[in-house]
Amino acid sequence: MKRKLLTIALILTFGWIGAFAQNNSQLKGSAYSSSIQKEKLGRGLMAIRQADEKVAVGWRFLPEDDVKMSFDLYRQDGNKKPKKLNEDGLFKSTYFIDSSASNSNDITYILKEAGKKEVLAQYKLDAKAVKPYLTISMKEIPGDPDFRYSPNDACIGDLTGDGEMEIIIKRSNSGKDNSHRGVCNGGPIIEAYKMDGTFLWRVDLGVNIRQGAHYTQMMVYDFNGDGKAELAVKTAEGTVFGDGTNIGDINNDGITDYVDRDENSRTYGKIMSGPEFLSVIEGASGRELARADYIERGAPDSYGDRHGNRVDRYLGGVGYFDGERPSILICRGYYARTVLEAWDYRDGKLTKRWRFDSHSGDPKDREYAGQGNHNLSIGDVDGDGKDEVTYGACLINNDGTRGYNTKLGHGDAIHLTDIDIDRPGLEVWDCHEEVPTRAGSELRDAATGELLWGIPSYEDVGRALAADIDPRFRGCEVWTTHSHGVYTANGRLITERTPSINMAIWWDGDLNRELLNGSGVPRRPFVRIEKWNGDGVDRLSLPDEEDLIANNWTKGNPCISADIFGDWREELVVRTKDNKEVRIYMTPYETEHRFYSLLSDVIYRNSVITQNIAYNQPTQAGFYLGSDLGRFWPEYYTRGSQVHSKSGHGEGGRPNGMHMRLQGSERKVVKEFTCDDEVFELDARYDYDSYSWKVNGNEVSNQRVLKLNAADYPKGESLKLELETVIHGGVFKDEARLVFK
Amino acid sequence: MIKNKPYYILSLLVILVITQGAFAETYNIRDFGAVGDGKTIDSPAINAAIDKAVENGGGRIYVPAGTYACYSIRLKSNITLYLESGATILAAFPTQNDGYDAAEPNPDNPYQDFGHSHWKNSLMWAIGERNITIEGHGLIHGEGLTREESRLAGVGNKAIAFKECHNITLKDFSMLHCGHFALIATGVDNLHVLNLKVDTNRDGFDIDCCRNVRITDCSVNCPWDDAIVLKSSYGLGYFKDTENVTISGCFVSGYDKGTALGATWETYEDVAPDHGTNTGRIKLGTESSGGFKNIAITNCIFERSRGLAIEAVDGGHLEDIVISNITMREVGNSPFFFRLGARQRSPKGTPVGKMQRILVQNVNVYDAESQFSNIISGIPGHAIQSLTFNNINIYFKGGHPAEDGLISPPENERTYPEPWMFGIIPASGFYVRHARDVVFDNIRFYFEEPDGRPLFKLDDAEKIYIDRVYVEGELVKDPYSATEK
Repeated sequence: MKRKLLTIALILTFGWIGAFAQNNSQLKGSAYSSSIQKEKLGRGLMAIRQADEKVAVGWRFLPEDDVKMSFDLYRQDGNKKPKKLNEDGLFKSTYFIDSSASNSNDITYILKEAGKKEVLAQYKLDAKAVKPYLTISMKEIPGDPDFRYSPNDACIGDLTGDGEMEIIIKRSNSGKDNSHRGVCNGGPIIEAYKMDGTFLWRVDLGVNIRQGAHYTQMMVYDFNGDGKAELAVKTAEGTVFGDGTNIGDINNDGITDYVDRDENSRTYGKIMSGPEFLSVIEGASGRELARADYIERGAPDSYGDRHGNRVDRYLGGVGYFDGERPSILICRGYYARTVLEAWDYRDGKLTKRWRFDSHSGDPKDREYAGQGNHNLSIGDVDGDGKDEVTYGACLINNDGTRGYNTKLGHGDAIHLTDIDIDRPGLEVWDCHEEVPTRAGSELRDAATGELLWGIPSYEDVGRALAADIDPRFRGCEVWTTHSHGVYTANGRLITERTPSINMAIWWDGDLNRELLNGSGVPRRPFVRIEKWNGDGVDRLSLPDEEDLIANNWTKGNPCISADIFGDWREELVVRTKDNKEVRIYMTPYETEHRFYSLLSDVIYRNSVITQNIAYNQPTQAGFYLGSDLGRFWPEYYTRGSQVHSKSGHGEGGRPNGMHMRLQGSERKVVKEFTCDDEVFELDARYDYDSYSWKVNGNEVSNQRVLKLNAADYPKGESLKLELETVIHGGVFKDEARLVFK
Repeated sequence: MIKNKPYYILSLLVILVITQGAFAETYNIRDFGAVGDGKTIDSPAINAAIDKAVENGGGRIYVPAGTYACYSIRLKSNITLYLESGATILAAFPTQNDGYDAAEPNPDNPYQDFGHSHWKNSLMWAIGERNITIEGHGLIHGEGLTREESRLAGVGNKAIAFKECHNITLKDFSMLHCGHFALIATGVDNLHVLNLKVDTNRDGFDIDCCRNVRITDCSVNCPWDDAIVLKSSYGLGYFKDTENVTISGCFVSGYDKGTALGATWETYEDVAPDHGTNTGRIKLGTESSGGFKNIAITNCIFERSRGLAIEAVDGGHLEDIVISNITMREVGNSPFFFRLGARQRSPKGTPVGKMQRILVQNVNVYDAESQFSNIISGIPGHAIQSLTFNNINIYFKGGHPAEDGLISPPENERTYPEPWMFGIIPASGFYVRHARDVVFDNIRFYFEEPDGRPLFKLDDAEKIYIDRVYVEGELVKDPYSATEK
């Protein structure tokens, strides 16, 4: 009934563009097989000095760990005997602040399971590493002593097979947007570094790959299952690999430079001919392992124009299209013709799995032309254990066939995760360019494409974000450049004050997400983490942030932000203004929560890979990670008087997001239940991985919905009701009281 | 003289029927091609029906049951637009090529908001017409209207707009989600708004520079902006007072959008877009270049809204106002906010206005926020004068410490008037500053939590008479001291 009322209200509020799913099956959005070929994650132990005596230590909690597992952390100063830093086993989080760590010697952190002898991991913190971030110095490129090549998009992958991540980074010196003419100064450079700064290799993509956000999409993952990640990327004649091999004049036409160098040409500086390849490159060495022809240019204007703009729009990603092993996804075009191809790199060979082409000749395929975004999301949205591709406004199935098509057209941002936690499955928050439209941005069911609600717009909605930033409202919050405020997952306006619409990051200790914003504009560069306070943001400063600059001009992106190492919070990789280094920041905040490394969540891992595809988007998990976890009991808010809010500060001067708002409005939780019916029913309010309901200490159910027969319990007695749930390794428990009347 | 009276009457009736037939014909919009499927744009058919009626000297435009997606409907003189039960005029969403009439140029745009300065970018509009009625039990649903100030071609932001018209009647219909204004009437004389049920996402009725207005028996739910507002802008390009207005028997509220008309009365959203509490109130101002004269607000109910706001900040004279028999529950800011300011959003040289001769009596307020208590504030050199509060009950939340009584609020002479402009107020009952000749008689206060601030705080106030003040039913000896419980 409640839902029905809500539906009515939404109809009245926004102008309805779809109806709620009538079939409320409890199907989870994604359902991957347990035997799926994932990367092998190590312990990810990392220690970063925060201050003179203070070191932040974080490590991964892994899916193979028991959810009850505790850890012991030791510190070895120089060659002295290791000293245990914790009294009780570390259980609540996999993050520890060591506040007595002298910086006079090298120190080594040693991690063990609590009470056990076996060393799980150790990390040596050099006495000279006094900065509160890691630094990777960019290796000088011959002929570029002034470092005009700037570190741009980065990817992570275990290139060496030790279970820890390395960084693959693109460097460019004269990137151009596709719509602009002009010759670039060489092609983009791709390099690999270890976290300790060790340079591994360099690939020069060469003059036939233009520099710019749309030309080079890097897919880094272990495709062949040998335990080491490969890089899949578009290459051309002139590409020089890590071992010095040059693709060369492969078609023997005597040409190895296909750049249009005629200044009077409409396609001046662009590459309108010559062979195009997909190369798979060995992560450890940078040498080429396999090569195939890239999706063809096709008829001159089929992608939307004749001047080399829309034909050179590439997307990519990684998906478990067969439900077992990862495949490479390459894409060309989204303004008009749209082609997607899935390739397997297995046993040293590249084989094409499927191809979707809007211009196949089938008029039904043709309807999928012009629907793609400048980004995409890949994940199992329909519970078949195989990844589908959310290609902007439409879906392409795991076998390359047509999924849903909203026909709302191209847009600039997309988010796939569990946004509305009160409905089953995953949702997509997408924005659109074509105007005016009743769905300038819209929330849709990720499996069926059914439109749930939208915000009309009269202008191109250029950015959109979905993240759980506000603990007062269920699920994620959503907003766009044209939403005129922040909305709840079910379409209620929270406030007209709109925060940044860029990236999101799990950074401080709570379950809400922080906002990561930046600018790469030289005169006003910044990289900034902000915390939503209910009616605006408070800033969380980063050490030495004046040195930093974001990438991609006004888009203001980091090189990457993802759960690279340490606990479940996300690291931040950014470049410095002098282009000479990238820095990796790990959170300085303690937390009360732990989850398995987010990299072990398939949709999250996919989103790490697609983060830097064309227009960068933040990572999103395949499950809801937010402040409503563990909030099992019914709750409501009472309105307070401090509605006109200012930012507040909590303990230690740290901005405390909700301080002023919560001072005014109070969350009331119903923890005393009385039941005068024959059956008492209570819902855990989210799809957790497991449930344990207890009455007076005895487990009575392991289902989401608890059903108790009044006849089985004494009347009038106060019963202790407990619920413990687990989601992605995170344990949540709470108790309440129940009386049968 | 006339011997056979019944025949005389009969013949008169016959003549009446014939003339009515000739001059008040009914034009069914379906006869002009209206489809009513909620998709086809039916405004050309409706406009054709109106033009045909005008050609014949006027008439009744009949809108039968159905949903008629429309862009601008151009109302003309001597037209009655009749919305049958089950009929909905649906404001269509504009497309690339089609939309609402373009906003006409207005050189006086700078003196008031965009919405107040243009009329044609509306679902229904008339400029310089007379004798127009919209009536019937149908619905005007403004779904495709924006509540923003979009200047883009084709975008509409008002449901009904009248400029420089007279003899206008709006009666019986419902209005939902109507953009910036459900009704804007600027420079309209003889306006009667009767028995409308309005539930909208910004302002309800904006009565601007109008003379002789009856607003009677209406329900107006506006969580995001004011419900019934009298204004006196410079949108016409000349000064014109809003005068001789009654607002009576009305209910104004701030329930979640659509849930008043849907009768589900939801309270999920507790913040208006300006970051304050739900608005939904009766207000005079903010646009106040001209004056407000001879106005009676009586027998009205406020619920889940801000309190009564009386504002003269742009140079107009606000005088001869009676407010009586009002009850308010769940008031998000000051139950009474009277402000004479000097924002002066008027042509250069406009002097500061006046606020005088106001009588407030028989008002009950329950569950009011205490932060801003009640505010009566002029500015230095410009006092509010001749004000009477008589027979008032106010149940405040209270809870402010004594040190809040020491706060000295900023003057903010030019600031947009809203109670929070002064921050926390140093009085638990009334804060009176820059005022002369104010009588408080029989004022009864109740506080949910003890409040350490004085009941009355005066600053630059002369001839203030306070008589019969009660707290929790006890006569207060010193109204300038803190409340005791």
